[in-house]
Amino acid sequence: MVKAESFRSQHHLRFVMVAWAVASVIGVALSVMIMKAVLRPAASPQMADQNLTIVVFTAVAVPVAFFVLTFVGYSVWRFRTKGMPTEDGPPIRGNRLAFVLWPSVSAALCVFLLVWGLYGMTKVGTFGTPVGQGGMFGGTRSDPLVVEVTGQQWLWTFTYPSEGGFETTKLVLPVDRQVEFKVTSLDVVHSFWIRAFGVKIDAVPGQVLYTNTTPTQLGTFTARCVELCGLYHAYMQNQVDVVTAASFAAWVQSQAAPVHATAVGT
Amino acid sequence: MGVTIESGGGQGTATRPPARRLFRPNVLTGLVLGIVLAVIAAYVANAITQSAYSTAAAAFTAWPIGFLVGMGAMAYPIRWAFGKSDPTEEEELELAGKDAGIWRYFRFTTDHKVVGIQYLWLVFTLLTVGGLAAMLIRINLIEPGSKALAPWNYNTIVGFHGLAMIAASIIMISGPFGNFVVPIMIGARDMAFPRLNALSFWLAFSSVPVLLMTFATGGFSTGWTLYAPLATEGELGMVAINFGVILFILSTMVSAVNIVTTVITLRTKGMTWARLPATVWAVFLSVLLGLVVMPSFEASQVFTMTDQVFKTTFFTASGGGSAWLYENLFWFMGHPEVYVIAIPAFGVVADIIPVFTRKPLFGRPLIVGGMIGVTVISVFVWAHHLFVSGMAPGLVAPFMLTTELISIPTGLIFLAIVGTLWRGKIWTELPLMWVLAFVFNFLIGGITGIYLADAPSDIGLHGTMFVTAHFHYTLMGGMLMEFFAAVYFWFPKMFGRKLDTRLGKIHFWITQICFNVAFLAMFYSGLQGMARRVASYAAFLTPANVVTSLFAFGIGVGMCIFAYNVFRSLRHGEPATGNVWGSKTLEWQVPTPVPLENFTGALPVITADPYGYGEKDAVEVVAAASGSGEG
Repeated sequence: MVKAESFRSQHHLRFVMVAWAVASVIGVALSVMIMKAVLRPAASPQMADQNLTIVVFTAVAVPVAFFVLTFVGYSVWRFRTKGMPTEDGPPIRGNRLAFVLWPSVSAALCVFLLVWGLYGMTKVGTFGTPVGQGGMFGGTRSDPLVVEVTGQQWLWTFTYPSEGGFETTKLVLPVDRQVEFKVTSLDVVHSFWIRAFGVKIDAVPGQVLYTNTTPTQLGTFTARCVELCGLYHAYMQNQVDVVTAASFAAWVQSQAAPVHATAVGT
Repeated sequence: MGVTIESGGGQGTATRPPARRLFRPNVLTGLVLGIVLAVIAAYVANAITQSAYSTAAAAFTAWPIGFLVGMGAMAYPIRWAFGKSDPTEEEELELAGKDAGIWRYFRFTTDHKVVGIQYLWLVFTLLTVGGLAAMLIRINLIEPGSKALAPWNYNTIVGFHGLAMIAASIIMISGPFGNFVVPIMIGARDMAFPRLNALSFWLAFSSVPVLLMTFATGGFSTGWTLYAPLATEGELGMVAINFGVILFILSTMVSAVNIVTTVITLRTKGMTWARLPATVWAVFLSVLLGLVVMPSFEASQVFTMTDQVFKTTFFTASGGGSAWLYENLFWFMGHPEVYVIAIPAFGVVADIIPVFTRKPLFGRPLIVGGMIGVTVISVFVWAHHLFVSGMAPGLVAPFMLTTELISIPTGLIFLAIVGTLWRGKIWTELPLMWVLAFVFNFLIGGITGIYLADAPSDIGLHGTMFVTAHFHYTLMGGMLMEFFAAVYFWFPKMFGRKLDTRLGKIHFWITQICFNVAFLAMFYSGLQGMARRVASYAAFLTPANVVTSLFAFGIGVGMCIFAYNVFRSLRHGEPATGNVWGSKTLEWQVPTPVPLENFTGALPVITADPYGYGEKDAVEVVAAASGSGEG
């Protein structure tokens, strides 16, 4: 009797493990394909890293989730009773192997997440310090174009101190050149986000925070606020143009000229 | 008026003239005195300061005092303060609602079962108000351009939805079941501090009209996180929210002191910590955690209020304050608060599964240890909400680590579920179905949390709809569904009738399917770059938002069916007064309706934990003379 019982138990276990393995292989392949289709293309190295992180985490998460779901699904399918159970199940209060393996695998996954996270942080380098000054997480400085970003309800304004200090509401950036944003706010907390570049940092009143990126794609993108900042928060967005170095120089000229003319005129 | 009546006699006389009962203070006298005092305070404040903020602050300060005095809550404390005699046994029983019929639910009643049912209705009310707000949000987001609501109203409704739902979630298990079930589960006749128990409920009750006053005073635009300095920019509606939250937090802390003391001191003979049901452990740890973290939130709201009303500058940079101070005060409560909500749900899961599999709880010491681990670690994770706020990069890593570490104790709840279900006699009744929904939803909610815990992926996802979908998967898909499990499970104990199974299954499937479609679509919008809490969005996000909105309305339909089921079953439900599910916990061994002091005769003596299914030599849990009837 005892022997038959344990044989049946092993039979159940074997079935679940095979089902889990099959489901995981299919699930990982499918989920990676889906995530790649869902994630929008990156326009900077950071965004590529962030997209990669999301894909990798999904691939790791699917087998973990499927492990629980296969066990639970199989149990409900095979061990279900019709109506109120008339007898009790086997009085199993624990299993030493499960008690050791479960937390150990969780811990191993945590270590993986931490290592991946730390490695990822060395590459994304956008936690508020100037580029090159955040220790191992600051990125490397390579002659960045500095842009001062000011948030106020409900608009971003951009100032180019190295190009004459003019102020615009459209952010224009040269392609393939590092840019450093100095972000602050005049009123409440905003958050400066250019999704395509994987850049996000809060605009905090009374503080200047830094973030940086290197746009690698020509095109038009959006900078928007992602910290609820009052009435027109949803509409607090500005256009971002990434242009060639030559076009950028021309644009700077066109922006600087009127300011200069006014100065001369008065 | 309540005070004069209550303090009139009190010469230690056991008999009272029956006529006095007609004038016993109740919720109506409370409302009258509260409103009268609030109006007087507002009038005086306005005459002195000529400021709308001071007027509002004075009114909201006077209201709970007037309300509680009018309820008769202060009668006995005042009697004691003036050296009058202690209340007699008879007076205590009267205060506990003896022979008061339906009126005991509308008075300052100390019986823990009355308080539990009062809390249940408060939770239903908050869920209804918050749910209506959710429907309005989804109506507005069904197309871009904020066409249904003005952005101002939209922001207020988003914030109110958040506050109402968080408030409901904090109390939804510890309130109704922590009060009704936990004292019986540990073999106590009532809570340790019955008056504090009544006080905690009526404080929570009094916070609701204050929160609702925000709609009458112009609303607020901060969302439920109430970030300063946006909160101190001058919105009058914010004052109502500050005071509403202050009252509510006060209530949760009063309740927490009471539950913690009850569980520590009032366990019956033999109810050791090792035999304590998981629900009791969970509620105990949850309120203990709340006790540690809630004062930080209380302080943040007091500071916000004084910044606004008295022009202090705690959070104003130009006055030497800092927005970062608010963010840290808030999130120091804000993340542990998620576990304040989650831990009771874990407890309910751990207690329901053994009953519906007829197997002992698998890995009980690990589950309890896991819940303790979650309680401790959760106090050290708050800054993961602030990765992009400008915190020192060197601090990002430790908070990333603690946030990932907490997945180890949290994961143990899944071990318990898998292990207990395995080879059990699985009875797929409604409480178990909600637990299975929890498994599916909380897995997704937990795993998507990893993306937000790890700084590299959080930079992109922070502040997007991905976050909104993630915490709805945990708080709604995980915890709210456990609230439903608890309601379906304990409804017969509380009301003597079962909830209708067919309606319950319709409620279950509509809710579970619509929930998943709505919020999977929201993950998609988030990954596509839709920011949180926006009244409008880019046109290409429309299809995903249409899907979310339509299925959110489906959830609304499911909830209406549930409401109908509750009201119908209260009157016409199948009578169920015995041990309906065949549970071994104490509350199912006492008669239904539960007598006033729970146990007729001696208190039970406990000799085993309540999970001994299938254990041939296991001793019966109850050794007292309380009837146990198979339903």
